[in-house]
Amino acid sequence: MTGQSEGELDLIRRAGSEASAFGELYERHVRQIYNYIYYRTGNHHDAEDLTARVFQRALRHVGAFEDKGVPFSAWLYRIAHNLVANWHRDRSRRPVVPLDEHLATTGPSAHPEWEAMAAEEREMLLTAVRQLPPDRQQLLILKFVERLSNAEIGQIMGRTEGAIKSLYHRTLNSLRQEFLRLDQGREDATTGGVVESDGR
Amino acid sequence: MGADGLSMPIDRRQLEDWLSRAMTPVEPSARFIRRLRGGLVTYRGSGLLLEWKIIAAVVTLILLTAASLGLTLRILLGLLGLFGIIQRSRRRRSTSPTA
Repeated sequence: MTGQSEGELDLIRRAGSEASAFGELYERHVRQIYNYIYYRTGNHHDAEDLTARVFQRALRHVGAFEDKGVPFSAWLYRIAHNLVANWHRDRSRRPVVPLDEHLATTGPSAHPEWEAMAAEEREMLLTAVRQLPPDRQQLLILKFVERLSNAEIGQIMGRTEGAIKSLYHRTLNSLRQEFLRLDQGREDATTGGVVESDGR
Repeated sequence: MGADGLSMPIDRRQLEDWLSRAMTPVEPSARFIRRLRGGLVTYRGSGLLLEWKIIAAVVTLILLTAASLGLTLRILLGLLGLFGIIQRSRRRRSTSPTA
């Protein structure tokens, strides 16, 4: 499996001097990078800001890109990963996806209470995902958002297919524990509220 | 109790199913995509413009140097010509029989 096609390699070579070639690369990868950043930050505003910075940085350094058999997208993901890490460090907080962002995408429904419950569950799951180490978050994003195979994920993350399988297994285990911990916390908060109101 | 001693069991398949439903691709706004592309191309464009500006400045400098050298040479030649005319007229005056 090669890093990138000849066509893409040619674009990368020309991107250092031709605006149109870089524009083509941008069109090919902007959605992937945006999705990655969106699921790492949890909001569209920061996803837009960081995506712009990724491509500005890529534009400055694309001339120095060396083909080592690694996909160009891996290079972009690495830039994105560094910028997201800086973003988390700057804020030193875990961002939360506003509930309305997800609800807004579902549209009107005949069962708004089910929708609300599903949205809450989804929100909790995404919160659990964002508690995971960055490489595990990246793995889940590449697997579920980008729908890539273990081999493709391995190329991007610089690991073997077997290592990805193993990491995926461990990721699901820790995600399950994190999700249940959050769920338990929510239940405790609810029952605590009931006990308090009963005690009054 | 689940396998990990937690309050509810979640098997791997169920978790994967939730993940597939929760982690769907999001589409950035078309306005953002367009604006960023425009910005990147302009950024690159301004870089090219800067290169052309430098080339134009160097060419102008070369032309100005050549022009000033040409002018200096003409002045020198003019002065030499004037000097020659003066010398010739002096020589004529000194060799004239009336003198």
